[in-house]
Amino acid sequence: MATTRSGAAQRPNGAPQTKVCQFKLVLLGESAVGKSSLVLRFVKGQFHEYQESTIGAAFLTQTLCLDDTTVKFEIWDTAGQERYHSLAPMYYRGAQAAIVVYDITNQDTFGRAKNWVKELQRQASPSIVIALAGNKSDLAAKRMVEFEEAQAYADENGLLFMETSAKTAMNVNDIFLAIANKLPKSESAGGGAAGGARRLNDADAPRASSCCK
Amino acid sequence: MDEDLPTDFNVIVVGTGVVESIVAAACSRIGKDVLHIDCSDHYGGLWASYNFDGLQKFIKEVKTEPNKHSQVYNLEEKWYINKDPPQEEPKEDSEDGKAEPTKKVWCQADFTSEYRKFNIDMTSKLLFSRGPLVELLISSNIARYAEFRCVTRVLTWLNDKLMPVPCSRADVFATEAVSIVEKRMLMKMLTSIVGYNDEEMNNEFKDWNDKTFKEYLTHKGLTPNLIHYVLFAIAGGTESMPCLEGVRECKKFLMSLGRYGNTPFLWPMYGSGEIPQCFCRLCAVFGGWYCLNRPIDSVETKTVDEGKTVVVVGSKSKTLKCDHLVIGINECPKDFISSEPAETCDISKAIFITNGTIMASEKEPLTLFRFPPLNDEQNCVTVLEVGPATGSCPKGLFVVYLVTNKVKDAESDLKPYAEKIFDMSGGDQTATSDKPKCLWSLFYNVKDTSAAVHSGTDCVHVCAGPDAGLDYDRAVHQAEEIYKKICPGQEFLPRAPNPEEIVFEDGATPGPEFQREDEDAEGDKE
Repeated sequence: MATTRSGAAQRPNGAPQTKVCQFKLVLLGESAVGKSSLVLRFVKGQFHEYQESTIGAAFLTQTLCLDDTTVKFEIWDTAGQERYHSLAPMYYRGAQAAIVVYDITNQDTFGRAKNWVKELQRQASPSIVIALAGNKSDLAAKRMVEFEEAQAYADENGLLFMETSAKTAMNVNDIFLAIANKLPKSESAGGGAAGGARRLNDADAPRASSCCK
Repeated sequence: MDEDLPTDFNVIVVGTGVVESIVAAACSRIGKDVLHIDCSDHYGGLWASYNFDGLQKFIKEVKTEPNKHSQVYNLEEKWYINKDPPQEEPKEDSEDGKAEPTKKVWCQADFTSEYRKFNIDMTSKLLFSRGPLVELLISSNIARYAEFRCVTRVLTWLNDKLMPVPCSRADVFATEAVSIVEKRMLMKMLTSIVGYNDEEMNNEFKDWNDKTFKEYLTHKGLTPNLIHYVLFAIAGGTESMPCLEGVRECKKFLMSLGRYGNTPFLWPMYGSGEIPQCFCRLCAVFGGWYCLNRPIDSVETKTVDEGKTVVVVGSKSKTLKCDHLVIGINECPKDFISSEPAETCDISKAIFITNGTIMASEKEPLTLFRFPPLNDEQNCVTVLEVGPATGSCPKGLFVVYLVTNKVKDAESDLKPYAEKIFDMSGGDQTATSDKPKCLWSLFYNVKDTSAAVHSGTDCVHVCAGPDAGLDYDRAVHQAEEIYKKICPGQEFLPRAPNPEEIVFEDGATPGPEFQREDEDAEGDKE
């Protein structure tokens, strides 16, 4: 990545070439650990104390600007399908990043977070960037999961790790930024995991050259 | 574990096949409380895609617990390769990019270790680019959950060999297989079929009701080659296909051309099993509850106050109630199926894993091949070949699906066709040959339950299993019919909003804005 960056900086005509990379990011974790709240904080800058578990949003998008790259996150929420262990595998398809969330005041959610990490290692793309978020850090007084314990687990498994608070916004942008920095931004990135595959939409006019060329 | 699961719903959907999932999504979308359950640990039922491990479990289950998959029978799995790699295996892999890559010798252990790279369909189907499923995916905004690939070519079997079928205008003019005169004739014929409106259609074909499509094509002066292309490859028919059906099928094919690719067809990335999951996700996004691994023990209807009927479903010692029960035929208690579906034609299916494509191509092909019947008793065989780019298998392999109407049993019905296009002798995988080696095969029959099934009561709706057709049209149609009964007069899957269109409710106070510096850190850092 460093090489890409310096290469861009040396462009002679001054205008920095901004590359736009789009990534699918999935959220995982037990119900009520604050997955939707993290996204709402990141995307809308909002926090609702009594966030409904379903928000009617298939996914939200948010853009981050790195030095020479614009990273567009397409953030998928579990839509409640994680209850009763019924998350559809299509959720992981083509995901380049994941945030596994637990609640620092609830040891069980940390145990479940480890299972989600295993599930990702089993189901998702091998190159997926995984971040572990210990949410509700504003409730440190009721802490049940030690920072060091989670940090050690994250290090062992090669995960990014931060404690976050959707309520105070602490580390929320930072964790997304850390993921954005870690994602490979090669030419092939950003078109979804599968080059040549396509989404369907009604704006598709008949095209002279086919997508499958 | 499930104490917090509510017990009263507007709609309970049992089974996660395509029909059930579309109905679940449609009901949830307009605000019905929906519980969607499946007795197995995965989505899709007989419409699922499996990785190689999941497929092995499925095969084992069919053999040891036949009641669990009562629609599947005559299942035969066969390997054509060794269990373990050869002893004197050279160390370097083909990925080194050596000048002379030797062809990989596959063994069964490779399939086991790379099991995750397989997504093998129990029901493989294509989408017509302008067919009802594509239109529904787009109009409902469910399309954003899935990715597709265009089928790159349509093949046929002519003069005992594989031939590409020219399907777009460009193809027609590029092909060397037909003469210039034939090209003009074909274009004229195809253009007129697309151009007819209903009235013109009725006029043109009023005397053809009881005749075959072949007779019509002959009458139009098409040469035998062209008749073959149009009848078998474009209309997907047989010698006896009725004229009007042939015209309709041709029109469907032609109308879907030019939207996304060179052929009228799309294939879902990671297999057809993604389709029901997309609808399930929409259902969940609008508040639907999901429980896999949840078998049902009993279904009964009860009349409560004011003559209202509710359906009571017993499941894992819990009593669930709903106004409407939507249930897949596989899960449905027999007493709710008023009459066994008319003994239509069952389906013969086969899946092959090969070490190459059936017909060499510059880029990785995605192929629809309609195999005309080899003898008079049989039907057309639909062949779909998909490669690694579709997420169906590891690099170097192809997955090929064969489907036809059952005559005898899956193996007898399909093996003669497979032998024409694959080398099924086992043996040296590196040997050069004009046909790809078949490494593994699975034959099975599936009961055809696609004839509409009535439950005998207004509040239980039985969904059919997969049909033998090439597309999803029947499933989409059935789902819409069931939805209309549950939610009369309501729009079917109105467009779901895009994320940026969602306005979050006011009233909830935004959180305090400390930690501003964090937001700045993200900001528009240059």
